[in-house]
Amino acid sequence: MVLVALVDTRKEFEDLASTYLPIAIVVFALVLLGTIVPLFVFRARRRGEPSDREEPPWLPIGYAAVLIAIVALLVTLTFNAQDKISAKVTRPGLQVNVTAAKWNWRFDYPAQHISQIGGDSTPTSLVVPTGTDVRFNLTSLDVIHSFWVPYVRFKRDAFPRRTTSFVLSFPGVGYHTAGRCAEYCGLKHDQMIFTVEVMSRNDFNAWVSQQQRAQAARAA
Amino acid sequence: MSTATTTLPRARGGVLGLIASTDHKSVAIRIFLTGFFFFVAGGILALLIRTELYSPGQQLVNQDHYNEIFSMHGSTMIYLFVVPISLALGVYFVPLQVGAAEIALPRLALLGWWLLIGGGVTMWLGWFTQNGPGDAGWTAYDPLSDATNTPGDGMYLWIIGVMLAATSAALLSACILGTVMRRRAPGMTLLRMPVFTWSMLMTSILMIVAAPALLVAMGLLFWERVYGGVFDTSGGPIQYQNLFWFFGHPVVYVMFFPFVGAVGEVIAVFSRKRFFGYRAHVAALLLFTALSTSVWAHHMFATGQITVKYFSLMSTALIIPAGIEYLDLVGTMWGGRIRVGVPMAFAVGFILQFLIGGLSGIFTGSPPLDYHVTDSYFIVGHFHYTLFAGSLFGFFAAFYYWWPKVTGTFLRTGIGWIHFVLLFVGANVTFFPMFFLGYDGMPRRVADYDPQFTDLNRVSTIGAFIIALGILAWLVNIVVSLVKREPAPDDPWGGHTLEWATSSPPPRHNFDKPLPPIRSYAPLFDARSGQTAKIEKAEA
Amino acid sequence: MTPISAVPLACYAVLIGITSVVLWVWTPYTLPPALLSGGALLMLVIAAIVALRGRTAKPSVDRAVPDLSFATVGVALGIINILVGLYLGLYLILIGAGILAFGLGGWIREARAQRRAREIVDAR
Repeated sequence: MVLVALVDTRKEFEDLASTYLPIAIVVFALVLLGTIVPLFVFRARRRGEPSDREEPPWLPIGYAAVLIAIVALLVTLTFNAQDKISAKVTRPGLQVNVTAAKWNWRFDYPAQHISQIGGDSTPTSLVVPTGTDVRFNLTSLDVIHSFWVPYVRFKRDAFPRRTTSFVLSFPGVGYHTAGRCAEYCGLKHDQMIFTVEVMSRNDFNAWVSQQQRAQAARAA
Repeated sequence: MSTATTTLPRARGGVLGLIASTDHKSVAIRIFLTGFFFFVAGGILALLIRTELYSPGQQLVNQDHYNEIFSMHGSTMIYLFVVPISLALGVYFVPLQVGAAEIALPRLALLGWWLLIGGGVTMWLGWFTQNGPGDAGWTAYDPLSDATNTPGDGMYLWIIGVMLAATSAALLSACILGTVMRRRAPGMTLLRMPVFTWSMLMTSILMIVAAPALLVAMGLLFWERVYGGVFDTSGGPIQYQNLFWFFGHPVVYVMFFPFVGAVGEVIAVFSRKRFFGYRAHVAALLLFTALSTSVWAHHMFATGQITVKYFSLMSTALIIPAGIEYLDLVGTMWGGRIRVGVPMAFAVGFILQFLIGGLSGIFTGSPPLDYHVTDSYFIVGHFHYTLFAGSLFGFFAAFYYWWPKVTGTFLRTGIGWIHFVLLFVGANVTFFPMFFLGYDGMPRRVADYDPQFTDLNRVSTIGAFIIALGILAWLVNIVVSLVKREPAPDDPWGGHTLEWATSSPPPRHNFDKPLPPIRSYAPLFDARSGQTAKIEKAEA
Repeated sequence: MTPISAVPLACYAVLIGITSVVLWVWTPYTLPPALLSGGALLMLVIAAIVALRGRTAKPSVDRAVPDLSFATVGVALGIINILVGLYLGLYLILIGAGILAFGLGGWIREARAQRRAREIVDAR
């Protein structure tokens, strides 16, 4: 079992991408050279008869070995990152129940007894504390939606009649960032957005208290 | 051989032949014309998309129409254009390449063409219904595609259209498979079949295995819409996705293999060298085909309802056969005597641009990476690099290469270069920014976006219109070449394979004169370079 | 054709048979490995058919396939109308069935004519 300090999807993405991307660039550069150089060096006018020797048998086998090694490397790195992202978190700092429905979001904080609900033309805000494992329990009331926070490099689909859980943490403090629906869900899919507000833990606790008072007052 | 001819292929039986001819060459041309018609239709939809996305907010179309437009763009391009022309290439050239007088099951091929027409017409009839055409994306996920969420006739017509198009593709694949199995000329063992024919064999296998899953998915969707009760359990919607993508991944290889095969032929002929690494290539194709069937749930990583590690391993393993194929393509060029003609330009364009699509695909084969970029414009960029900048460039390589054989005329070189340059610039300007848009957080299938994405969207839209100019150049080339004909001989390029051993265009039963001896996968190359005698002596 | 033609088909079937076994072991879900195994089975069956027919079939002879086959067009239009009729209504299904009957009948006529033509040629 993998133990992590915090589930940091942004870091895992950036670390992994910083290996994948250079490899991709190198591969592209090699193939680019491999195709452009012959266009100049092996032109019809300059050379004599084309060579026709059969390739040495070790070439495809050796080359396949290199490819297998690359696959092994990428898969290992990927599996490690995947383990860290999906690590079991027994005591998350916060739980948020996310409900998606055409075409807005609802965030319920069960332990704090408060809710953030989007209105007809008013997107809602997901408020979270920084540096804390937040477990999300995600579901949909109608079609498949997808909860995507680009800043933490993570999305998960929201299915009707089932709840899916995952843990995210939010690095940095004191900012807003975008949340989007990322699964085509009909007419206003492009408007199904939310904001994520990341606060320090003190500010978050203050916000919770304020919300509890406000929502109790509304109920009264 | 200098049989100059200005006779275009004439449909046997005149107008009636256009309807009912069983000549595989005529069937293939008619499939191509049908696909071309839908390409123009789907392309116009693309320009509407890109025009609307030029600026945030709604200018050209409202959300409802936008959703219909992008859904029909994808559905049309895949089901009604790229898949049919991929198979049409095989319907025309596989019988010729294996030295057959006729395709296997010719009436089935004719049936396939007519079902394609039926599918396309049915799907597009949706535009005339009250709720518009099927607008649940080309993927039509349940529950979005059920009767509650997408009511109306158009979605039903879309489902039926897809079923007809899928059946068409399966039938055409059966004909190609049958031809490879049963119609090879004497001496043409499996390991003497050309690279393109091997690609088409693999394509047919994929389509035959994949089509039943799609037909079941569509049938269940239809039932769900009429009676309900199919996908409405907690585990229901994911079953639809499994069925759909079990088809949906192989179909993208159906749209790739024919063109990598054609590019292989073009590279070999224009490098004046035999194709490099033939046996490794065949083995790689087999592995590629098997893996392609085994990776489909990588489209579903974000659902949390599949075994991500298995599908990530299988998807990343695609590097192995892909890398071998690329080595073979590049290795064919090295040591050759290259002529840089228009087919070669498109072939090299295919190699480089498909690679970008493939590399971005390996990126998405890693779930931690995919969790961010899936369902964003990164993916839109990925599959347009493989399908447009990749496969379509491969198609144009095949088109310029084989046009003389099919029509007995040449396409203009100058206009061809203009076509290539416009398309090369246009494709990259349109699709490369999409990787950044997706990484920065722009979802796909959206009529509107956050203003921060405006600049890159504008670049992309400009690229789309450059593409449109390139396509126009292509059409001009076709018209000019047909009006003022430059006759082409039987073998204008110094081809390696049997289709070049007959007249341009080929006669009704393909070969009027005896075939050259078949001792390898490049019989004409052998005959020209005196290899045949060498091989026969070695075999004796 | 020879039974060897079936080898690529069988190779593919074995390969995805292997990937499906790995998936059966690896995943708790049922449908995904079942789809893969189903595909392997389908291709094995086709390979078997190709191999068996390869033993007994005569070498390819010229077949008298008609140049024009309106029967095929009839079959196509019949299928299309039946399928569209599944949504638009019974009347269209019946029309399609009628057209399909004509098409299939035409195919039978064509098959008979082909056989007669082969007999004539063989007799010569």
